Amino acid sequence: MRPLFSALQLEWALEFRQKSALLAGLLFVAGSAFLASKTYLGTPPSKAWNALLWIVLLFSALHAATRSFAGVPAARWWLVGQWMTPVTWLWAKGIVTAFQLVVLGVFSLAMFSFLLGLPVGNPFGFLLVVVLGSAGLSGVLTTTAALAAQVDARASLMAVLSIPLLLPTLATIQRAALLATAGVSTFDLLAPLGSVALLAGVPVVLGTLLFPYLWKP
Amino acid sequence: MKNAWNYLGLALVGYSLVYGLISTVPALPIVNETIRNLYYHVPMWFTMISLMGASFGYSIGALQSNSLKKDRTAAAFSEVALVFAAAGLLTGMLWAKFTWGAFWTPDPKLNGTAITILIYLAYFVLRGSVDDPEKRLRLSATYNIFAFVLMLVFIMVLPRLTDSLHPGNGGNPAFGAYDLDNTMRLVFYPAVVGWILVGFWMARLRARLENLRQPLDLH
Repeated sequence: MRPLFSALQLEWALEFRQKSALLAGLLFVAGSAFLASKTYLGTPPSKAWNALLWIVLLFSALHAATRSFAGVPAARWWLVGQWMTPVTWLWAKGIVTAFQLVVLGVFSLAMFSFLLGLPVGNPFGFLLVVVLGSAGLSGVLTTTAALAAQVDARASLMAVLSIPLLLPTLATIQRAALLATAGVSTFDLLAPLGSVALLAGVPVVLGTLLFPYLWKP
Repeated sequence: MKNAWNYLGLALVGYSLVYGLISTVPALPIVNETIRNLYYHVPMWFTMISLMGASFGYSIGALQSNSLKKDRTAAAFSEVALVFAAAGLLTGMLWAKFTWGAFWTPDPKLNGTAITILIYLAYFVLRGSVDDPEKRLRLSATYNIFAFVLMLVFIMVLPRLTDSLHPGNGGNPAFGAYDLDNTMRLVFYPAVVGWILVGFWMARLRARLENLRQPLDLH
């Protein structure tokens, strides 16, 4: 645990040294929510509201996760390799990314309820879905970001590689979100939230096994 | 007889093509004679998954041994798997038009197929955007392994989220439990085995062709 903790401290410090990056993500969410409110005029029906929210969230998450490995200079791959094992680094990156995605997710929810209203029956349950769901995107996104960072055309490649892999996770998240929207009690949300966690956990295990092979020599 | 398995595959496919049309089938409401599509549609998916499984195996081998030959073989198996996915989709769409009334429905199995095809197209986009062969091996093999395992999990999970229109799901008459009588089994199982053998033959030929195009490759 100790190496992971030090790695987390390092990644955390590096990530929040460039505050403009996270701010850009928040601004993207705010801009998209504003655009949605200006084009829709009023509160959309709950299904459309959900679709808009998760699309905005997915693209801000894609953007945030792409940066996690893309900004790393070649020299730092080498330097980090002296300090820690590849898997420790992947986990530190993944946890920091998950934290950013949760911030983006909660912020999207806040912006949407402010600008478009909150057509949700169980707001606390919905918040749980947003927190767990956005953190759950981190597993696939961190691994594909590590992959895409080694290719030149990375911005477009990131979307091509990760969106098909995220669709099933998003489908389970969407199911939990629609249940919360319909006002299902938080206790009854635990089972769909469990399947979200399960689907989010598989890529973490796979990424842990495969990341050493992605390591730049 | 180097090609015994291949010829056996061809013979079984030929047998299932002919007997699929002339054998007797149970008369069921709605599906009627379209039940024969079982012989042409379902083997495509069995073949696709087997080929993808083989491609997954070659990718693991490629990562372990750094062999470019295995990497190209993995790509060849994925390519042929996509051909079978297209064939399965086309035969399924034709059948759906006659029984469900539409070429495409938001059925979980159809969504799963669409996702699978997107994943493997992404694999080829990834291969196409890396020039250095060693790097292409590392990145595409990693993605292939990652994507194949996730896809298997999803294919098992997705249909359980909602009911499917497919026979055997959600109370629809199944080909399995009581409809698949022994005459149909006699055509269906050979068709599955035959198409898998032919699929592997196609993929191996494709891999050989690709490997022959690299005369200076020392791996």
